[in-house]
Amino acid sequence: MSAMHVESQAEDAAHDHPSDKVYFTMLGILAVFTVVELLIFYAIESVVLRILILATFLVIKFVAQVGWFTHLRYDDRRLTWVFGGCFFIALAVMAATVVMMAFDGFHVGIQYD
Amino acid sequence: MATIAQSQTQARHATTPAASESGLWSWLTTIDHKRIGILYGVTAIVFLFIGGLEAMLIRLQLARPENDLLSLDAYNAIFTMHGTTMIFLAVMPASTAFFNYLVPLQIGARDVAFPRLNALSYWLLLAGALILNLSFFAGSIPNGGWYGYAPLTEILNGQTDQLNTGRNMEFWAVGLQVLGISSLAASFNMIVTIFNLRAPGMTLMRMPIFTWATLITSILMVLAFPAITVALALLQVDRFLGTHFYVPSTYIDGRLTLTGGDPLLWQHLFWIFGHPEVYILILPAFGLVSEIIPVFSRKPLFGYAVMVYALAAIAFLGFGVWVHHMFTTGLGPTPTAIFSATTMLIAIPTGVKIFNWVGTMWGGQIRFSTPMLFAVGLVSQFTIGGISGVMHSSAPVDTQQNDSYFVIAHFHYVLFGGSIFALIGALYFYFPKITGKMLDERLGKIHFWWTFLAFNAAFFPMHFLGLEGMPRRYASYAEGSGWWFWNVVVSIGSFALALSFVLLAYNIAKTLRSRNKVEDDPWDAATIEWSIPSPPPVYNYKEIPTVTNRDQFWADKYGTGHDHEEEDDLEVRIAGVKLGDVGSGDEQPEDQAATRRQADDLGDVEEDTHVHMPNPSFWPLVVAIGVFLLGLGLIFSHPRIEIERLSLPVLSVLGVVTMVFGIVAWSLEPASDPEPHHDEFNDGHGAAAAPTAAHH
Amino acid sequence: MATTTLDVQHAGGAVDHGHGHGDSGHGPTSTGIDSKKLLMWWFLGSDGVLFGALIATFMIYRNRAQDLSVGETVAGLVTTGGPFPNEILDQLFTAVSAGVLLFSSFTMVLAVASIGRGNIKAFRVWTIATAMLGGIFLAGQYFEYTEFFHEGLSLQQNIFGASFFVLTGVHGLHVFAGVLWLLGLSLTSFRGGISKKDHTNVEVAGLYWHFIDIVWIVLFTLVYLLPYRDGAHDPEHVDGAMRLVQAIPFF
Repeated sequence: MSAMHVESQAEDAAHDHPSDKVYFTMLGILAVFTVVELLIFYAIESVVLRILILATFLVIKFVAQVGWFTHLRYDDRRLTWVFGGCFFIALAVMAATVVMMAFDGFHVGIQYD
Repeated sequence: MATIAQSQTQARHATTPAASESGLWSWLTTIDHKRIGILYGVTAIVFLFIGGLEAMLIRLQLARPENDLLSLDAYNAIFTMHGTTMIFLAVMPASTAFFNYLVPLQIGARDVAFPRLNALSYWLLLAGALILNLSFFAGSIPNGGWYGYAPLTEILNGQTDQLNTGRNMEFWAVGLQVLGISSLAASFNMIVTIFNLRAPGMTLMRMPIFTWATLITSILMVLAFPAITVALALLQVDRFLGTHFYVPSTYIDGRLTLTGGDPLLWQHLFWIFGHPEVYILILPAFGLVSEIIPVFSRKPLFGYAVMVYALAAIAFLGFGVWVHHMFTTGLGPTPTAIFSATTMLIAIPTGVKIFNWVGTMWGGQIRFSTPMLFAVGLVSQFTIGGISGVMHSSAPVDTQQNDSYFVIAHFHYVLFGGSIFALIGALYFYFPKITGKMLDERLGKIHFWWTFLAFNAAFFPMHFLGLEGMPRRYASYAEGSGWWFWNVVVSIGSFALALSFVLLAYNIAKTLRSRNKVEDDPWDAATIEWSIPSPPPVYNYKEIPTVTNRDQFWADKYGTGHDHEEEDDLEVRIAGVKLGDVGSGDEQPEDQAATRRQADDLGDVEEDTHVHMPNPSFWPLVVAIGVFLLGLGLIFSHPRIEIERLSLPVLSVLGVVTMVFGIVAWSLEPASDPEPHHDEFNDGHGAAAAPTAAHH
Repeated sequence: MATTTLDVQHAGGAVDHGHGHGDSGHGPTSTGIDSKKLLMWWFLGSDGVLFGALIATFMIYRNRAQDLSVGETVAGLVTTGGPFPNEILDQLFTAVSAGVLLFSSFTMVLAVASIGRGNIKAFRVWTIATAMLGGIFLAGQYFEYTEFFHEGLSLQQNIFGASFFVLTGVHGLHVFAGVLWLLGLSLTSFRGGISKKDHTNVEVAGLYWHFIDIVWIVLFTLVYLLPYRDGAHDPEHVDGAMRLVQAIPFF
């Protein structure tokens, strides 16, 4: 809730700072997510489901960290572009590499005895 | 506003301007961007000559069939060092020299954002260069090619007849790692400088095009170098600690073992860096040529905005084409098709640039002074290299020409006909700015035509050799191969090309010794770096200029065309329209007034003695010495090579200690005024930052 | 001018932020963004590519050692053996480590907030707490590494070991550098060298520290939580969903 409050303030002035309450909230959220992740790891049998949930959680935790703890949410919008741009290029290039290496890669061509 | 401006005040009063200081110590401790630029430039020229000597050895070896001038091992070493030296120690430092010297001048700043970091970048470059070239004295010269393909670079257990059981690739890997850190530090500095230290009114779209090229190149370096850092780190872990990242199989406990490593990973990581790297080499050249051509055509750059977008597009697309270096590795049809298409796309923004240069010259009053000759030389020769380049985007054609001399011809047309032509042209163009003296024009013109002809004699026949099937990297060829004739032509051309550099060196030496000073603006140039004395004073601008126009200095000299005055034959026109009328970024009078107000707020300097410049610092050099010692330590205390280990870990420890000592002393050194201004806006804009708007 | 209002807002708190989005020389820098902060964000972008390359390497190799172990020999060659990830990774232990690093991010924001308010004492407490939590994380990593060595997983044992140690090791080095940086800041504060005007210096250290935590969030999921194939698995006995996933080699 307090996060919402600060968010609306941030619309007005992109340079506002969140209160300590927001940090507490974020810490709580991130901690809960980490615990749930661990539970998922031990509880969910379906690999597909596990991967889907973990991927979602990863994105949420990532955005929460970058947006609130590094203040990017409250900081100059151009800094978001800097980090976002670099992140996009890193992600695109490395994902393409992994896909190329893995799909046409090693174990496909190996003839098992 | 005035309070904010005051926050910039830092460092000492330059009552004894550092410009008048000379001697070795002042060069070792300098943090002046102009001096660091000169250091970069001199280093680049020295290594250009070393790399050239290596090229001469290659050409001597290939001048006749079945030559045994160089042993096979020596040939491997020489072509590896030629490529590595030319790319990392000649062309890149030469570009960085111009970044350093010109960018703060072009954006109206007094220095870069982090002057001590800038000094560190240079000393790290020197450290990396020394590490690489000390290999000659250690007798284990890098020999895996500048691309260092695995597993040629690996130590393979139990296979004693293979290439790299020596320290050869250690020198290469450690040297490149240090050079990478240097380039990263330099590019962070340039990016922040360009974004943050622009003069009032200098919007992004009013920046000189070379500053744009610097910005885009720096962003490329920031994003490309980490890939090779990781690639080299994994190689070093492989070699030092015996992992198998790039080794698919090797002997473990005497048995041939499948390790799971993959040499293709090296190629991916290397070319993810390597392809942006070729744009890192060429984009600064594009920027320099885009500065030269308008001045000598007496017209503003045609399509400035499109030129900027083209730079950005080349850089962005440059991250999506690396696989075209790997078409023959069998990645399958899908990646090949995708990367063929992206490679062809790059031809579009590049073609746009070529047409815009031609458009700039079209209808201009062209003066063919030496800088212009070299600039036009780039436009023509780079186009040849570009066309043979876009041929390679087609995978079947690439498969045919892969690893042949056609590829050598292609990248020498791009690198020499592109980068080096532009760098030499820029040397002629900016020599009066840097030294206050003009290089001999008559010699310059001879130099150009000599270079142009020798260059084409040296590299054009390589196209034929490649199409006839002569493979690259081979130390010799058979008597009956039919390749002898063109190889002789190429060798003669190369030696003629080498002589052209002797001519250049003679011209420089002769000019430096002469006493003929030239006026501050000998070319009637367009941008503000020519509005100050040549060579510039240590603080660059006595008053931080206010920018209202893209070609500010022309606008100052000849008006913008809004106020109908000074209608003389020097008037600057694009196709009948005066400068400033067609999207040249000039602003309306009310904007100008606002910009001028900001300039007043930022505070202009009233007297020379009141300009605050940061202190010289010794610590960047100390840190670089530490890195140098650590690098040598890593090379010589190799756990998997039988060597005299006794004293050598000492070197690493000494290096780390020196480095840590340097960093601590650096961070404790007061870069700011001993009596800082106690206003709360003094936000530490950078203890190491430059005084953009020094105020008193 | 809009800047004036912003300046007033800053008077009580952080003073490092921009003054509008104009490009034309407002405030101390052309963009209004502090130079050190801009440098740090570009550095983090660059470091992101570094970790991207390391993570890509890890993803490529994460199942390869297991895939090789399907028989005594593959294509006539012997293969590297275990231990394999499913036998050796301790998710519970690492979750605690991840929690420690997460908590250190929280203490770091409090340190930045304290210096923004000029509360040097609180700054000192939170900075040292952050450094200590970083130290605990490193101790955990040391413990984990020794456990793995005991169970036979070394850098050289198999390709999983190599990529695991290099990836987490580089992250550990980043944490180590961050701990040194934070200790340096707190030492400076004891010497009286830090005041409210050094807010940006602290904030930049904070950005670096949060980035390390962000990387660990990614690593925790990709290295510890994403399912691995077992060593010596039999392709005949996997259920339908698993088969689907195994079409993607790196899962």
